[in-house]
Amino acid sequence: MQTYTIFARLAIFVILASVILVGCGAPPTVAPPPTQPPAAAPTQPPAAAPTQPPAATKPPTVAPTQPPPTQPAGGTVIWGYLQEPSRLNPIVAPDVVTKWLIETIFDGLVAINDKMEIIPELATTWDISADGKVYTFKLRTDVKWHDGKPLTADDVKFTYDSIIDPKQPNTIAKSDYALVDKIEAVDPATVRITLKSANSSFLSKLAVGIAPKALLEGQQLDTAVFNRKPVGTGAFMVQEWAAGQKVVLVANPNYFRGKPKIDRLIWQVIPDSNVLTVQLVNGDIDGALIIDPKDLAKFQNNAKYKVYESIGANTYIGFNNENPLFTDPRVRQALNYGLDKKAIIDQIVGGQGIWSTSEILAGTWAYNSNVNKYEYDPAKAKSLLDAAGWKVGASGVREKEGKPFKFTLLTNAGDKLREGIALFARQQWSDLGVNMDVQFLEANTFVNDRVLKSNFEAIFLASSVNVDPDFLSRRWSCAAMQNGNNFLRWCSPDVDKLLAQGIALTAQADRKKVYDQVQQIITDASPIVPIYYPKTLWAFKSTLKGIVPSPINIFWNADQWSY
Amino acid sequence: MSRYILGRLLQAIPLFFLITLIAFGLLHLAPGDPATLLYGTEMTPDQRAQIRAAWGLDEPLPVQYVKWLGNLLRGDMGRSFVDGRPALLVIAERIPATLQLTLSGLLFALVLGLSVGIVAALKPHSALGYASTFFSTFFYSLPNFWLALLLILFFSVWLKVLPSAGIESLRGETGLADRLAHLAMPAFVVSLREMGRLIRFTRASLLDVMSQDYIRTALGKGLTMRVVTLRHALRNALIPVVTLLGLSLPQLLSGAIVVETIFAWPGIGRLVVDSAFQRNYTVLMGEIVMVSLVVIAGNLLADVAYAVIDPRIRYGK
Repeated sequence: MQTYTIFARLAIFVILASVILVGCGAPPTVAPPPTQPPAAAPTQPPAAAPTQPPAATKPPTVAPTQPPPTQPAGGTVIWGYLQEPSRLNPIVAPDVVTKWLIETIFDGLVAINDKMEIIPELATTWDISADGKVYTFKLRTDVKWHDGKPLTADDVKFTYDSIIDPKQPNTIAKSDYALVDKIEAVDPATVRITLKSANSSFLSKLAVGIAPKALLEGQQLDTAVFNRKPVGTGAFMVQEWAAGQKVVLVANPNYFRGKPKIDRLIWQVIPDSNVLTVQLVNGDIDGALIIDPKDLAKFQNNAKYKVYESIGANTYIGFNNENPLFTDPRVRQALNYGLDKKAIIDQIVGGQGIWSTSEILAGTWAYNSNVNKYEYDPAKAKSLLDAAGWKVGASGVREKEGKPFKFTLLTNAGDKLREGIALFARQQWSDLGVNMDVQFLEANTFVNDRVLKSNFEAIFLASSVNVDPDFLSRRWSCAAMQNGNNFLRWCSPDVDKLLAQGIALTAQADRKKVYDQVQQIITDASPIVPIYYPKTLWAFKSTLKGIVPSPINIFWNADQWSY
Repeated sequence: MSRYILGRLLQAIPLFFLITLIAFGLLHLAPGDPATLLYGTEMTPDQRAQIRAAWGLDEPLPVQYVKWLGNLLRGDMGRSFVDGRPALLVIAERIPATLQLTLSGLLFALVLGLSVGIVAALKPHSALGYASTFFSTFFYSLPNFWLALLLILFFSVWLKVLPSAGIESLRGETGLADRLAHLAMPAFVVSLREMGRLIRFTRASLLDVMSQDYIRTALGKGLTMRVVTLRHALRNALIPVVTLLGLSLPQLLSGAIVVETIFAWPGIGRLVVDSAFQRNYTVLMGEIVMVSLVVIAGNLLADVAYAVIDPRIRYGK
């Protein structure tokens, strides 16, 4: 009996302690943020009951015992990913991952398809004035928010006004809209945007989801409760978001392109990439990004899965072009010739990459495929270094004016591919008589303290995926050295002139000629050594049809997916 | 007794402030900045400065700390940089999942650890006695992540009997059986280390007590071994075990970082990791506040529990 009491006391002790702690931390004790107007609580429209079995009016083509009661007719797609989205609001969604999901919940005036072309979405047509400054959009009139209210030009105006609003600090890419003079809702179905100066890259920046004015007006958007339970116009509606676990989306029956073919799209959070693979192999989830190329074989030779691919941002070794070592273009060209990109792609990347020559994605309209590829040519590399005055010294390392050719390449630690490629480059360049050291840094330190501050001799990094080639202005214009991303510190007046022409011209064919020249000049100067565009790979169950991956978003046409 | 508890509570106040001060300093010493991590390298320096200002990150660290502390005392932990929600809410909604995992792990460890420990102490030279010594050390030294991946390989990949991740199935059967199936592997991994410790402590402490004079007296007056063990020995032997439990209380709420990450368990431990990688200072500080309060409370509870279990221990006379 005595033992019983001891155990009972211990148990009570443990349970009481935990009950007290649960009581302290339980969500109901947290006061709701005062920013939320009571009317704005987004509620699920009753039309969307997702767990309902197929309606009784449907002809019973399937035996009644066949469909499990929890599985709706169109089926569920469970997508697994390492992290969860942040704010499901297109105005304040900072990260790429969140933007993937936002595109299924919200629609923009225009959208970007798999070929990185601009296609109409909420706008049916648009008209650009002769001086390129006034954009007039005609909106669809059959679009309704998830709560049933109609979309109007006021919502469009509200969205862009909010992005520009200096009182809303965390909005996306504010600088993209800095050239907007004013936005007017001419009538409920017409929006007119006037720019301060003509800029032909502007249209691509309108592929941003439109948010409902009625639910967001007057709020601080980055902290709005809306961001957790958003209301959009898109193909899917948010039903549930269980923190750290899953976001459940259900098909929007009133979607203007028609109800999506699948009924539910679930984003499940699986932080460990090994477990993510196990989940896909076991069929717990229906699709995922293939993070480790070694897993590819599991899905490629298996009829149960289909592998999809698209290409990612140019991965390159960039020089600090203001560093005396790299100011001579012959030195940069020599290092470019001296690196065997084909060997890197075949041996280190396992074939999962495409030889890159430019920051612009291969296969898109602005890409110039006729520039120098810098095929591996060590003899030419050596002669270029000789010509630049770097002679092989006694120790085998090249020297000039008594100084050895010695520098450090920085990259982020933890990426096996990058580590492999960096060490391969060190070997190849040491064959040229160039002594490169490789240093792996923690990702934060690498980006914030080194890359963004141009505090490096050379870096190994990936560029970004962009719809319009004008992003090169941010990367390579002289102005971008002060306020922009020209951390590689190379610019030329010729390129600046061409980049200015590129945004002033409107016809795509004319613009292409300009950007072809820009790529030509940059490639010849070789401020970076482009290596490859990594392939982004996904595996989905082969029964799921209709997936067309785009370089920016696999979900862009999720309303067309079906089993 | 109440005087003693009051004294301990008063001592805890400066200790708590010291913990937050050191933690705050250390977090901000780490390189990196939440604005860049979240918004990437694409934003202009102006925009970055604007966001940092909006988050109050542009002020000197001492000012930031004092402001944070002032808000904390008013019950405001600030907002998560990542999703803009109150940090308190972000933390609180992860507590149930963590408690579910750690409490089941602890109860499992308690039941098995105590019973194996007792048997091992009563029959120290039996096969079970030796095996328990070996396995308790073995369990205690096993790296969590390795064991977790091995279990997944065995039970999810080969046998296909247990789910490899998550708290419940996202389709098909959901219910108690499904939840228990999801709980089994993570709770087992969480319990193993604690179990190893409990076996060793219970065994050692009971062996120690069994050689005392009063045990010999009790046996001498004709009581059976069973009664002596249960009524006289165990009660005294459990005192160090209670200390151990008091010290493991914080783990209940701080979560199991590795296990929660591998098994995709939506608890506090994973939130800690995510917040650390994202430099989500407000949430991270909130977690530190919570855990340090639990550590302080856990130690106090353990001390009080001594007095309840052992009549010889009385405070504040």
